[in-house]
Amino acid sequence: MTEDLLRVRGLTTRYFTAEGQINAVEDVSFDLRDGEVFGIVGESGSGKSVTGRSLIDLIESPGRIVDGEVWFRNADLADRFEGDADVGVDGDYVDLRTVSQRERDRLRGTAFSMVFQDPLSSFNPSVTVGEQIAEAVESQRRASANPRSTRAKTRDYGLLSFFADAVDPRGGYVSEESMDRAVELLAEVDIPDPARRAEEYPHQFSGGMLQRAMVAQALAVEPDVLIADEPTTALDVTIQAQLLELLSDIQDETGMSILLITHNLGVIARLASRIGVMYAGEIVERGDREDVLQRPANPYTQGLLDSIPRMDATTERRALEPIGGNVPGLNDADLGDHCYFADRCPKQERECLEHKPAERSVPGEPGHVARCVLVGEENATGEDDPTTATGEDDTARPTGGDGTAGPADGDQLEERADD
Amino acid sequence: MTDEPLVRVDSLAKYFVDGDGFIDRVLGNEPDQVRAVDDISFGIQRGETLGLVGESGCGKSTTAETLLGIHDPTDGQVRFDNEDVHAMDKAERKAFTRRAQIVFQDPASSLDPRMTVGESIREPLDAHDAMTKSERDERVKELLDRVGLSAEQFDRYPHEFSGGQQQRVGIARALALDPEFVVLDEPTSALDVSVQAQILNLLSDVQAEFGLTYLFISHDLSVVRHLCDRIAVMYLGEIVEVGPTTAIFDDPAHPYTRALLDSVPRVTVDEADREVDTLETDVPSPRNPPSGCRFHTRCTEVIPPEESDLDADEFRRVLDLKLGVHEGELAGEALTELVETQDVDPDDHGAVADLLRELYEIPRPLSDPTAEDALGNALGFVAEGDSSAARNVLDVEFTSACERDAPRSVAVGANRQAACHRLDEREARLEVADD
Repeated sequence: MTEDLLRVRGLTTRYFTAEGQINAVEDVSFDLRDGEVFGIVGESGSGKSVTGRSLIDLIESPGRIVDGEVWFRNADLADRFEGDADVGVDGDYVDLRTVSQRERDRLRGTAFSMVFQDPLSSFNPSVTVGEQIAEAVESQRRASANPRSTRAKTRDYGLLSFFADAVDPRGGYVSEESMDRAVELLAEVDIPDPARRAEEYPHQFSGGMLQRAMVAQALAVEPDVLIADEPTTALDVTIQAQLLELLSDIQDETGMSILLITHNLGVIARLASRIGVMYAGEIVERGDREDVLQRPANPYTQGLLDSIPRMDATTERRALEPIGGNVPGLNDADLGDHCYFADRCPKQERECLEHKPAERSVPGEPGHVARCVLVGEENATGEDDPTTATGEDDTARPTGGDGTAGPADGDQLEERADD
Repeated sequence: MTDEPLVRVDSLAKYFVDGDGFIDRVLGNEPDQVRAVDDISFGIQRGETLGLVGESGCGKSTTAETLLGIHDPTDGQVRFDNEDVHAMDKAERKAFTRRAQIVFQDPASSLDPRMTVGESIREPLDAHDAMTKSERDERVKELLDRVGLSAEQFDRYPHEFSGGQQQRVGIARALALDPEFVVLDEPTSALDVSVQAQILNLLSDVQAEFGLTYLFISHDLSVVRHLCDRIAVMYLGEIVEVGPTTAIFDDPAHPYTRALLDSVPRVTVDEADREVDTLETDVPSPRNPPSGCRFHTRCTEVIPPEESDLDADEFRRVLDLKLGVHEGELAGEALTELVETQDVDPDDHGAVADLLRELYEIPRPLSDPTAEDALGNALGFVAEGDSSAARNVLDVEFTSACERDAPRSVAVGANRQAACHRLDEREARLEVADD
């Protein structure tokens, strides 16, 4: 059975703006297993991207990760921090939220990498594509040569090298070997004529081609986790199909884990083996692809599935059943302590408005949980979950706790701790 | 339906000229022609919804804009209710704009941020001097109500609305003059799925209520399937297939339509196991579209030359090599670098030829011995760096109808047409069978 590579518990990210506190990501928990694709799906503003960015600490002011744990399995790292009172270590798992900023920065280049939505704005327009990929290779090379130092990675980026670059733009940071590796990487993502393409600038690439180049750049660091944030949204369908095939091939070859963030349920259905559905900053339903798509437990997931026009012949021209109303704003002052979907929900009950539902397990479907009072009604709330429905993010959150992990995950973690 | 269609497009073409400015002329640069729409014909019957689908840059929006008289056509004609749209005088044109309206893709940028939504919806009424001021305001309130907003929102500004509500305003504005024909240019692409469903339902409702005729432009095939009676599939400025929606979705006749439909990921549990024959390359530039059938550079069903016995798959791979040679990917420095990254000595011509064969996944040997000889010669020339000789050999031996002749549109069923050489073959066979 595959193990968890990443265990996210109670992750909470907020933005502190002049208009008030925005709860972009609220108490999000999920696991990412070895070699799987975990898909996060949701509408715009549901907090999917912020979740992905929070994992690798790419949250900029006025945003802040205010709470949560990100347990990452890495034996070397665990060894290193064993006995460090400040750092959470549990077997091979290290809580990345407790290690130093520098350590997280280092991991971002080596263990985690990210593919963004808009390739054209993610590349530097004035540096060749090959060189930008080679930079990623180079930083990985330097980091592994001297793992403790972030300085080593960036050594040749100084004022002096700035002037040197002005004279000879090709000199400096990137070595010949890294450049060769960049060409290899471009070939790996099926870019025709990679040697010539490496010399070209981003604007000379088509959208699909550039997105492949970004995948190549993400692969340069041989990551354990690839976070793909709407990787195909800017692409046409035939090109999207190419990229999805590429991602799936790469995953088969390298065995890395992918966190796939998208609004497109079809893309999720194609690639992800497990799914988390986000709404208003929370994961409202989580489970295996079959369970979530065929037997959605949360009315929001059901509504989402009913509102998309289908390609299959069985649903010919049925009227769509849209979800009424609009996605709520995430301003803390407006949210309150109730189910955020309640005002759009066709199955609203009084209980929905009384408190925020905790994650509850769907009976008979291991790993399938939903934040909805209608789920698992037979089991009284709180009996199969370690904490009760009132569990806000500020309650104590021991490993696997907070009612989010489900009992099975909690047990696994304990077993490992005993080893 | 035998009566004359409401909109009739005949051999419409629209080219944009680029690089024709003063400086370009001084520098003696050749102007560049973008063939956005190239010789397309279709009709839209009263009360129906025709979907125009295709990937970005295929000319969907240009078609719509030319059809509404926003651009003048390079060639061809658009007839609206039997009147030539581009030959109208001022009064006729004004009458035409009352009858034909458009809803744009991005509601936020198509509404004036300094006008209240009520004023925006009233603007077409003002421009056409319809009714008295108080009647106009009344009409706007009616419209707001009809599209699912409330009359009290008359004095609000666009930024106070969500994307879905802004698009409702856009629809209300298009309906203000009681048009017969509305062009919907990607009306839901900027919206989330739950809101998209609301807008699609609204569009269906108002169509039924007011008897509207729609031209629905979209790249989203599932939406097109949901809303349209007939669809026209565009590729690089041409219509490759047109027909009733259900028929096309059940049994697409053109290889491009097949590939397009295949590419859309389904929201089903079996999706992960569904085989998808992905197209391998990018869409070519409309500045210099491929010869013959414009899809031949990507088509998985390309027809091998008459005189050879190659199967489609073999020929596809050889053709990829040929296109590579023609585009200069396999010559000079590019070739040397390509070869070196694969650890092959560029001076070892045999090894280079083998490598290319491997890279293009060309089976060895080809099923046709003559083709095998020609390919061997061509690869030899490429390896030696004589790409013009290689080009000649490849051109002589591997040029198929798909590359040479533009396919004509043939009937493939009731009210269905498609332009593909494979269908010509089928038609020829049918004719033989008839004799």
